[in-house]
Amino acid sequence: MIGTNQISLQALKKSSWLRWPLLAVFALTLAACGKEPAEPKLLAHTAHEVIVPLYATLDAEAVKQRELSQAFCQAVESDQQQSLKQQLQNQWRATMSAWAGVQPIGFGPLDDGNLRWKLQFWPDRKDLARKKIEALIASDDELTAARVASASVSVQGLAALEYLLFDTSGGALDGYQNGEQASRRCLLLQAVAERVQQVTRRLLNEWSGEINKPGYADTYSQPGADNPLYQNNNAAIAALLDTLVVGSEVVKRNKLGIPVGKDVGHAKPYRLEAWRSQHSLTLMRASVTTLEQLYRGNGGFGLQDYLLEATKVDAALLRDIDESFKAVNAQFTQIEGPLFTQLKRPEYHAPLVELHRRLNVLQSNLNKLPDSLGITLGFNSNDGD
Amino acid sequence: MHRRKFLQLAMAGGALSVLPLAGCGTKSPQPLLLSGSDNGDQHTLCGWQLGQGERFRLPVEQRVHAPLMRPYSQQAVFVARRPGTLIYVVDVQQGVIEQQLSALPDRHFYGHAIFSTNGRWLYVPENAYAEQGRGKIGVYDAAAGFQRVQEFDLGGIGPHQLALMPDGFTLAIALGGIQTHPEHSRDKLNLDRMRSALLYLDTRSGQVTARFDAPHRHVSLRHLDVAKDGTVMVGAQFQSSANPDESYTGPLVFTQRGKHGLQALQASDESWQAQKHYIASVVMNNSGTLAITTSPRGGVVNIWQLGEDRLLKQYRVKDVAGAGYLPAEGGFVVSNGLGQLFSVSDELQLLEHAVSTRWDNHLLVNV
Repeated sequence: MIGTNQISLQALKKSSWLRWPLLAVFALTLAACGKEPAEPKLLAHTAHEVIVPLYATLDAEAVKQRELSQAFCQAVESDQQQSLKQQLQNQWRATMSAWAGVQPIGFGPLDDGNLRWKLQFWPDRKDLARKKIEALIASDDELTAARVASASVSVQGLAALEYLLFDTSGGALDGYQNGEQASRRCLLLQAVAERVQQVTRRLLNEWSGEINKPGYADTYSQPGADNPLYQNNNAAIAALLDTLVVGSEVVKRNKLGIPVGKDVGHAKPYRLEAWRSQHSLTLMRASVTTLEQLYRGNGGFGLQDYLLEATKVDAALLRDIDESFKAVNAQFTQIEGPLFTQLKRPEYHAPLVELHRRLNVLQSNLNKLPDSLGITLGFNSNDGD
Repeated sequence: MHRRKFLQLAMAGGALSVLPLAGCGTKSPQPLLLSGSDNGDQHTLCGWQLGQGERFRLPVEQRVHAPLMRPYSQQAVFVARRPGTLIYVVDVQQGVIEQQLSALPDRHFYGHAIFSTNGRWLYVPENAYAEQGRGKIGVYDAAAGFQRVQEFDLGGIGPHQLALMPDGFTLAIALGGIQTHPEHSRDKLNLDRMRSALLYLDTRSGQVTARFDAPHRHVSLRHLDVAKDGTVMVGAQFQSSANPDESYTGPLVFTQRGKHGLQALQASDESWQAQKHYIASVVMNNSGTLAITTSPRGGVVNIWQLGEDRLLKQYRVKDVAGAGYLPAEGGFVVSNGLGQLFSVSDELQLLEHAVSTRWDNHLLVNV
């Protein structure tokens, strides 16, 4: 499945060049002049080489998850069920990590039509997942992907699957083997997994484009007066900066700061993302990895290269950002997890506080970029009156 | 899906052409919209005629917040937002600043004001920051060159938007509860003890006649509108910085009727969450059956059904804040920081796009 996706993506990218004759002329002119201007290079690379592959990975994992959930529900022998359930749990971890890699990207079709929550309803303070999922299983409704799609977001997405796979009661193997609702629980599990993959495929298609249609990656990387979303290069770069600033803030505050609390007595393990599967630390790292890829360009021309070339930004700030990414990554290696059991134990507190401090440094360094580039991130959305 | 395609079409078309408003006759000119706008570092007062574009754009020293028209006149006032100290009086026909009013020493404005029904008295929320931030309403006589003639003490902190009740003498005032001081920029100084409320003040006696406290100690009531039947709708901002440990998904929009307390409007947790703790504008239609609120942080516009008091529809509009009602069309208009204007009714439609204009927090429709 992964292979096919990659091939079709390559084909789409090539065909999209053919469908943009003006751009092709532009590219030829550039070749003649020698030096390519930095902004189009940055935007095209960011969209096509960093972001689209992240969505492709997410979709590929979601496909495996859908297939494994079907295999699990078709298994009849207890041993086989147990083994497939474990595989499915591992697959959920892989899908969720891929999602955490997409999650910080703050622009694109993900923010249309509530898709973000349809993939992950979080934080779920009232544990709506349990209430709504159990109510749906107990109802007479037909349990299909379409029914899931029309249901509350708390029964959709990866958090719902986590409940169905990891909750000590709602996700127990026994609940899939015995009792009146066993078959309905499995129907719902498959329906949610199928729905997740429908959404991930839609996101991938909308980003990469389809045969006769340019995708969001094209819209993003070709700003212009007739581009409905990005009228100029700065608007597109602003979206990238916004992702870095807000994305690092979300990791620092929501994923780490709130659960850790000001001291062990105030720790809130149930506020961790993915507390049921105890997968929180990996997810935090996955989000930071994406932020770093967006900054460094993942092997190609990234924001860091652009900033070095543009020389608008103080070299000291770029050094600081570079070092603060490294410092955060180094601190991650000092923590083993699972956070869910460690948050309430004093001996584990200090490294988490240190991680928070380092994330804070990273965030405040990234937050200096917009000003130094003369770019404003939102107007009313950053106001307070 | 259908809506999104429609929006894309509307946006694509809007960049090139101007869509006339449906149902707008040839007799009356299209309404004039007033709003503050910032182009880079320049604060301006802007008049924008739908269908015709910019009527005036006046550079000013201080960033303004909300414009309003003086009844029976061509005068508009634009009030500087906190900690601003100026009110600009503009002749909207001529497109010129006629007068500039200054706050008293040790006072600043909050960006809002309201006129009495006859257009003579201008009521302006003020921060007496040298008196522990006491909230005041300054009264200015428009018939005497906007001379300041009186003030009312509110017994609370942070009066923000206010409106005149249908009785013509009662002011409904959103008391934000948050203390700020110009020497501390826009920092919030009292989050641990803020007390926000909806106040009613009798302009004849200057007395606060009723007070309805916000339902949560970190909910700050800021913006409101009043329907003809006296229903007040108020929009809040949740102070999440005071609550790092709590992710509030509770209501941000309330109605208040008669002697009843604040009643939260009905919407799902997800819809509230999409509003990101922040309501920028509240506008009701003339009959008080529908209202909209804008949430720039969430990038959503909500349409509310009043009576049933529930959420009808939510649209995504990036950086949306300003809102107004278009009586001839029976629909609403919203503005955003990207210079766009959308009509909002059964569907969302891009009306116009003002290049390099960042529409500020509030919009006024002058018909």
